Amino acid sequence: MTGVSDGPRKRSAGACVPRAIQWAFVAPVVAASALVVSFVAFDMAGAPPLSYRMPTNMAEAAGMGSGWEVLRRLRDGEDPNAVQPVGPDVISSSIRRVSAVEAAVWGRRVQLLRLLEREGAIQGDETKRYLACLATIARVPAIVEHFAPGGASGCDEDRVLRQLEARAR
Amino acid sequence: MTSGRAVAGFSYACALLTAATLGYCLLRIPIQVTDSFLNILTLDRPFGAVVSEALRERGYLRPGLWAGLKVVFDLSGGSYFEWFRGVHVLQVALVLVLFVRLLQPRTRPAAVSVPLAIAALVGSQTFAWTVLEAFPINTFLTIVLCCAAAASLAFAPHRWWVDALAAALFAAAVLTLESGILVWVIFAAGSLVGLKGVSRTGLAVSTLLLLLYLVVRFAVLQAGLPGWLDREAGFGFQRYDGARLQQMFGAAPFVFYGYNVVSAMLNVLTGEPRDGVWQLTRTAAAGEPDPVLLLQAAASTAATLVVGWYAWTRRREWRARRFDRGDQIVLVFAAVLGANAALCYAYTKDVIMSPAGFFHAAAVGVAGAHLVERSATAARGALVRAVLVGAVLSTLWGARLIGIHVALNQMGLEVRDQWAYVDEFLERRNIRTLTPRQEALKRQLQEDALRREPAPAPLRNEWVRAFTR
Repeated sequence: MTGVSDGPRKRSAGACVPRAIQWAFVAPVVAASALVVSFVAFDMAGAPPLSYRMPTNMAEAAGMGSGWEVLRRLRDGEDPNAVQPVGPDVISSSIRRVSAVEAAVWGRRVQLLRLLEREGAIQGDETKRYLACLATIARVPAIVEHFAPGGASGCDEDRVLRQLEARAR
Repeated sequence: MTSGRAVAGFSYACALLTAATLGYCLLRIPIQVTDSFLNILTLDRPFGAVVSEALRERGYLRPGLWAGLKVVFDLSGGSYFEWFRGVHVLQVALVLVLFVRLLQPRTRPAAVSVPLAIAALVGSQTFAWTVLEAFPINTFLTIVLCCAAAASLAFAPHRWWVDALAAALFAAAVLTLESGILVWVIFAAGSLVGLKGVSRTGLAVSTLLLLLYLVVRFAVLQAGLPGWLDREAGFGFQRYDGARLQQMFGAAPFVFYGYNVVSAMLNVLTGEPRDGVWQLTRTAAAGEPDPVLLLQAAASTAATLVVGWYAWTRRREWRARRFDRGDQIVLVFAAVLGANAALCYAYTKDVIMSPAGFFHAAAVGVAGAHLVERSATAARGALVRAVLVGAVLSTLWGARLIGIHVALNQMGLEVRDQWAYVDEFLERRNIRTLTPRQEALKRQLQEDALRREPAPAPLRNEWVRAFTR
């Protein structure tokens, strides 16, 4: 006969439970939940903890590899070739003023560059040669190959690098 | 004294708080491109066309899935994100509420184990992909919800309408996904362990519906079953495509079937293998065990050991067929685990085992409450052991609770990037042209993904690596 037994285990709701075991079972999970709730609360307040800062312009978005943020700003009319200030954590402490297209090269964002090209942000052979040269400096063969399949001929790496660094001064 | 009402209130509050934090993260994930956008394009046709195509599909019989998607699509009136994601959040909340309802905590020991059980549910590897993706409704989560509702009916006092609801629920579940058959398994297992919610008549009706389903599927529509060579699958330490699987198991597919069934069970019980691949073992053999996989495996294994201990302590009652509610939950879990794993014979994936994961977490809640309760009268040594076990379990599952939120946060960013590169995605799928209507839909969903505020903050890499893979 199958039966549902209340058994000796069904005690009053207030059965005495040692405090140590209550803490052991509840505290870690509740602490984890509290962390999650705190994160949500700070996030809702616009100050998410444990996070990278959000990009402040298209160049930073490109350098950080945030394709959707780049596309959003493009759709809003921002110029992907305009030189913009970027934080020292985006590319390097010496390269602080770049365009979104340049930042994508520095950030080795091949897919993002294809997106920028598709959206018409990269046009003309001269621009492509320049980006291939930049990719040579950044040592990203996939980008060099994409913009200059035969290699970045005539690329004066020192001069390009000096120009980029001079923008910060 | 703690009143039963206060215990129940605390338990439901825990469930709703978890639903709220998961919901917050879900509401920041736009409709995804993969598996959702193409499905939405398919839905932009008359209802009859959508369902009749589902009835002609080879290998599957899922008209309920497409009917559900189509209904939400039409109701949305173009507000796709709000409706589809709203349904997702609602499903999560209902699953959590039904989970607490199944546990029915009324005592302080039971209440003490509820937060752990909830963490074991939402932190499980089987639950993760019920929230991390959608099609654009996550039908795996729909089946978990159906199984949770089935358990709720099975454990309820019997009323005539419970039988009617049980039959309707089974029909809806089995026509949504093949794993909807688990609803019948829950009724049948429930009947075997003495649950009275669904009567013998109700079970007989559901059984007739099951037979009818099988006849319609195999004899009338000749939909058959999905082939085991149709897609990439895991075996051993890596994944193989259909051609390679044919080479390896063409002469003895039952070896592969057996592997999948055992893997699916072990996945729930020990957190390894994952999607049929022994990833933790592989990384451990290479001398660098993946810490996240290790955490997941440790949490699942520890939880299973506690459930095993519970079964051992209750063996005499079980032999005498004296079952209380906790016993019934654990035994239904065993039945669902076996049946759910059997359904994975041709192909195994963590998320397919999500119904078993649901009952595994419930069993953890039962075993945890039992451990807490016994400690009240235990000798000092046993109490210390119980405290240690509780602390380890709670810490491991607490970390996994954080992990699922981190993963959801990252998914919010990943899906936005999917939309930035949607044209590349369509090209890879050889979709070169869209109709003006489809193009407008793409543009709408893309704009929604790019502009939906607030976007999740990009968590620092060290936090992402600590909790997700």
